[in-house]
Amino acid sequence: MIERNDDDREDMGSAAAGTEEPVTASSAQTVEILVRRAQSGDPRAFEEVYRRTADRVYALCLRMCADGEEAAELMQDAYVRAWERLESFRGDSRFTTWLHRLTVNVVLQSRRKKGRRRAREVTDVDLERYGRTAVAAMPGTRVDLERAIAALPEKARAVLVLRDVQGYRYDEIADMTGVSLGTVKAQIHRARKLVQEALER
Amino acid sequence: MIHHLSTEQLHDLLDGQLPPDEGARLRAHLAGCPACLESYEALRGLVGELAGLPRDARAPGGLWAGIEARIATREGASGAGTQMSSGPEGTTVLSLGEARGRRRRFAFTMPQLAAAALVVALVSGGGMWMALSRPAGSGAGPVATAQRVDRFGSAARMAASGDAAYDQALLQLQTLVDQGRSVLAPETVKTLDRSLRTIDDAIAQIREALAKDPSSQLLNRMLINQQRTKLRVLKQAATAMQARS
Repeated sequence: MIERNDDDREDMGSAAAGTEEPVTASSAQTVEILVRRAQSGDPRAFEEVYRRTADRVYALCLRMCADGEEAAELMQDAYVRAWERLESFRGDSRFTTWLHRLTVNVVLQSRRKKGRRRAREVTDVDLERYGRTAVAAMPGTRVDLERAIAALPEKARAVLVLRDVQGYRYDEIADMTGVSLGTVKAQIHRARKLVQEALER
Repeated sequence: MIHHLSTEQLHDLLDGQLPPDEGARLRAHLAGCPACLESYEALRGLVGELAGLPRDARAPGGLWAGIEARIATREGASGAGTQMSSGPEGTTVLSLGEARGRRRRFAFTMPQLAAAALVVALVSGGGMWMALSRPAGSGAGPVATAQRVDRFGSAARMAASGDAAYDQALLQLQTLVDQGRSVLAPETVKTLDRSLRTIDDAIAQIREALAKDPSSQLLNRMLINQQRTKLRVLKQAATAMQARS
């Protein structure tokens, strides 16, 4: 069983919340503490939250969209929405889980809107371009695997990324995506099968 | 007759989704069934490879500035009744109204807001700025076009001098860009248009806020910055078109 939804960058020590020391990358603030400072109206704390969480959120957007440009736009949308809804974060879950859930919603909503306008088919040219983007953003990644993920149907791609790459549990993914647990499992099974087939070709 | 494990059973076993006794039963089956064991190992290998992919990706630089600008624009635009006052060390304090159901005080410095507003459209459009900032090719474009583009070298300054000068410069540049867009890649044109729409949206929001709070120095400055940005984007587009023509 593979569960690896840890967030190593969150464990950076702690400091008293509400203090006035400057927010810097070296000040060993946890993301949660920075979030509390942002909630109290400190935009610099929110900027530091961004700096500490952006790479993972971007990876999520990149894989869900399979398009670097769209991923950058939606990532910006996600952080703007996060700022607007920051007060609704109560600390019931980790902030990164809350942020990722919000990001997933932003991406899925955007793609639903686009889907109504035009059905998007992933072409070989798209995959080739995405492969280059993925390697540039994630040096050392496996381009064949990235392309196989990118070629998946959208919903299957989203749940596979959340489960097998980001390490979320099935119930968390069902909560994030708003579909039933059974549907999530079925989509992941299907996605794995399609990726396997793509790699065997 | 041998009953092999179903796909669902293999996935559930791998994902730890089975009660202990059921899991033990399936593992016992795997121990005696090479075909199912092979399927299970293949699946486990794939999931292991997926889990080994990087979970972080290097986000493009400059995205934060766009986020900050959009936040600042929204806070400013939503602030019908927004109270602004000078804080310590040149800080402008926005006391946001209750329209958004909050009572908070956000502090952005003027330079932060100005810088953020300047880049919002550039970074909101993804790779547009990078696409247009590529070094020009060695082939010289038509001299007349170059001269027309150069005339807008200081066009950004016009934005501060009033709407008439801005509108005139904008119209001429827009015409130039409209005429030359066929030399750019369709993807670049699409991104350019999207970026310009982003700027126009920002300008519209700021103007709307200004109608309610005409004396706001912050909003006026943001408007000028957005107008400058639009001119710069158009100039970059015209320059890129010139290089490719």
